[in-house]
Amino acid sequence: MNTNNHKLVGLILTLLALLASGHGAYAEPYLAVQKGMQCSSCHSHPGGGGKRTVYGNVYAQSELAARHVGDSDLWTGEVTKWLSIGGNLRASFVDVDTPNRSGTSDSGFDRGTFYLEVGLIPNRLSVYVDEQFSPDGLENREAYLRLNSKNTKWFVTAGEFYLPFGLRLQDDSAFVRQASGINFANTDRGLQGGYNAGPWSTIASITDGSGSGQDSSDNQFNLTSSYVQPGWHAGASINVNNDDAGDREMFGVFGGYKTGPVAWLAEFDVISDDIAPGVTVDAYAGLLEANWTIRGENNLKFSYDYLDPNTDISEDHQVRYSLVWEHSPLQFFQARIGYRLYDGIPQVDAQNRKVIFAEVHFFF
Amino acid sequence: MNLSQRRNNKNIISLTSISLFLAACTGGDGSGLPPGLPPGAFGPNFSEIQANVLTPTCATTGCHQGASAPLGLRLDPAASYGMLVGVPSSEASSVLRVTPGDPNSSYLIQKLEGSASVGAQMPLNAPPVEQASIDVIRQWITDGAIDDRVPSSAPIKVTSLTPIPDTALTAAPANIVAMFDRELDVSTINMMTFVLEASGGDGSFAENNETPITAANISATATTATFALTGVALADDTYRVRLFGSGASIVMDLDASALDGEFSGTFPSGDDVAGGDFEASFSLAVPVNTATLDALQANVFTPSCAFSGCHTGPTGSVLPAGMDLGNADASFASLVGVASLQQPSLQRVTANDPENSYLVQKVEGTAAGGQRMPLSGGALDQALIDDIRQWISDGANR
Repeated sequence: MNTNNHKLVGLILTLLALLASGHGAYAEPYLAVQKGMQCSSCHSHPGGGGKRTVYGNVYAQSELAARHVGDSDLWTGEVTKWLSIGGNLRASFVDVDTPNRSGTSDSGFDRGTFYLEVGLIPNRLSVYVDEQFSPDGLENREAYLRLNSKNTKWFVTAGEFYLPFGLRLQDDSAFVRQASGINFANTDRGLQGGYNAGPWSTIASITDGSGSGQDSSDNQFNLTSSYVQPGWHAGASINVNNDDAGDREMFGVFGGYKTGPVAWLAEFDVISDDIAPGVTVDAYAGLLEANWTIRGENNLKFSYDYLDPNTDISEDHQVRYSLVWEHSPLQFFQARIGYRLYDGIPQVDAQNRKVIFAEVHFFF
Repeated sequence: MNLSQRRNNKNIISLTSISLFLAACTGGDGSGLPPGLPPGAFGPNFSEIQANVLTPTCATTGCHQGASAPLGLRLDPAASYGMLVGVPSSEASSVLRVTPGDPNSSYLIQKLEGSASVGAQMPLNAPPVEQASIDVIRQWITDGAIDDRVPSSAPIKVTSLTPIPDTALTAAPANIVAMFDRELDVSTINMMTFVLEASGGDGSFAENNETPITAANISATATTATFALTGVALADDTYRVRLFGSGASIVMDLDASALDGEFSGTFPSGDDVAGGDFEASFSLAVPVNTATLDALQANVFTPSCAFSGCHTGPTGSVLPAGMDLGNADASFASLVGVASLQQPSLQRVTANDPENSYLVQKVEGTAAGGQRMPLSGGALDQALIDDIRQWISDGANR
């Protein structure tokens, strides 16, 4: 089968998947902006992340990758009618230059994960497990039961899962993800329900608010809603985490806009933490990111992160500039090299570090 | 210039303009904060550690601060001491986050140095804390992990106890160690104020059948009281540790203030009122060692080997392979260091080497000669074979 045939098969499967799911797909928010689709088009979880859908897999092989090698059949993740799987393996080299300290370099496996979804009643009732197997052996990340309405627009989830808040970035060290604490390092247990159809996606969660650990007498409430159109999307998130020792409240707005080959992403969060009786700290976190896609397989990402950790203290804010090139030479593989420049207060050397990194990412 | 080229040029101009604009938005100059100190250039006391390490590095927005702190571990100034000292780790519950007096056994140090058995080195997604600063934290822990922010008018409290309260031990502890949040009057630590007692076998301390345990020695340093158990035999039972803050003989600090000892499961002890006894318990159940020769004799050799016609009999009778396994002494003499008759190159039992012990090969059925033992009654359970292996690995002692 020649290249044109590969593309034809990919296109047909993509269209079939789109028709089947009713909406679209992708792995990082900028891809969703470029395609004008919801995160759930590419990922099993309605909020994005984790195992890829049939469309997500097909897109990754037929559009994201520069070329498709090997057998012309496309991997869909579906092993049987009832069982679908997926996985990620990331390895990296990181060089960190911190003022007044010796430079450090490190390389190794960052994370290996395996996804499994059992469709007990296909498209209606499923069990989902996201298990990290490296490093440090097996560690459960997500495990939940999801019930979809007959038209699949409504869903209810119970178990342990990642909360959606703002842009679902892969980079946990982005200030908006780090400061919100809602990232791929923290799951929570509880109930989630939502509406996911057409341009609208709304997900409401009530969870332990335990940060994966301590019992809390109160609960965490989280609500994220987004509206997607070809060429742009916009959304907002609210989170309230009550705790005996003090509450946390967060509000964020986020969006994306496409100008030709460039997909712009932006998020701004306001975070309020009670850290002691009568003492509240307000913080701002922001992100502005431009993704310049040069053909499907190359993406040049420039991002600017902003964090003011305490609005009552002057000149304590931090910024970060990142320049990252992502390249997908063939299906199931992506390479990424980048440079990050941190600029923060002079009292903390780590806030003024420079980071060079290279990462390889295998996924299916 | 076509439409596509014009769009590309527009994007280049937009990206360049925004990049230049953002490049002008630099980080803060820190003028609103106290000047920083070089790594390790602060004292080994909690308030300085909080100010120079925990607050700027750990208790940052989205990390160990506020209601969403990972694993519920808050390290902001109001919460950090109470969440660290004497508190079991959420990731590794057998390890205290800070074990006063023992930095190597403190999970905080393990996480900062990257030697913890679970999870990533802290701080996450950031360079490690400088070793000079970690060394200061180590020194603070070695010195007893005292909370120097406690006003001197507050009563003295217990900050940790080893063994950890309510733990189930499988080996007798060598010492009972209590740590305090300030300097003790060491003369008030004695057999009247620091007491260990066994429940009497019923796990309860309300029946008046409790048995006091006499310490090998009771001692105290500035912030530590130790009840030594060297040479003291402890039976399997539930034990209660008591430090008295009320009554005729009490624990006091240097200001003659009585111990604030009430303990409800979390450290530090007390209800902020001087006076009150500290009470905590632990249980001890030492597993029976089945990998001794006496145990093997009872569980293996006597029931499976040493019955009439096999490896036992009156003196002079013909024993298979000349091997008498009729009692432990005879078994020891027949097995340990004795060459096999079937396989003379191997000893029946080679101490510390179960793989090359013919006894193991015979009971596992891997021996080069003869049949698997025992001949009748079926193969030994693997658990019994494991006991034999363990006894040999332990030196095959009598």
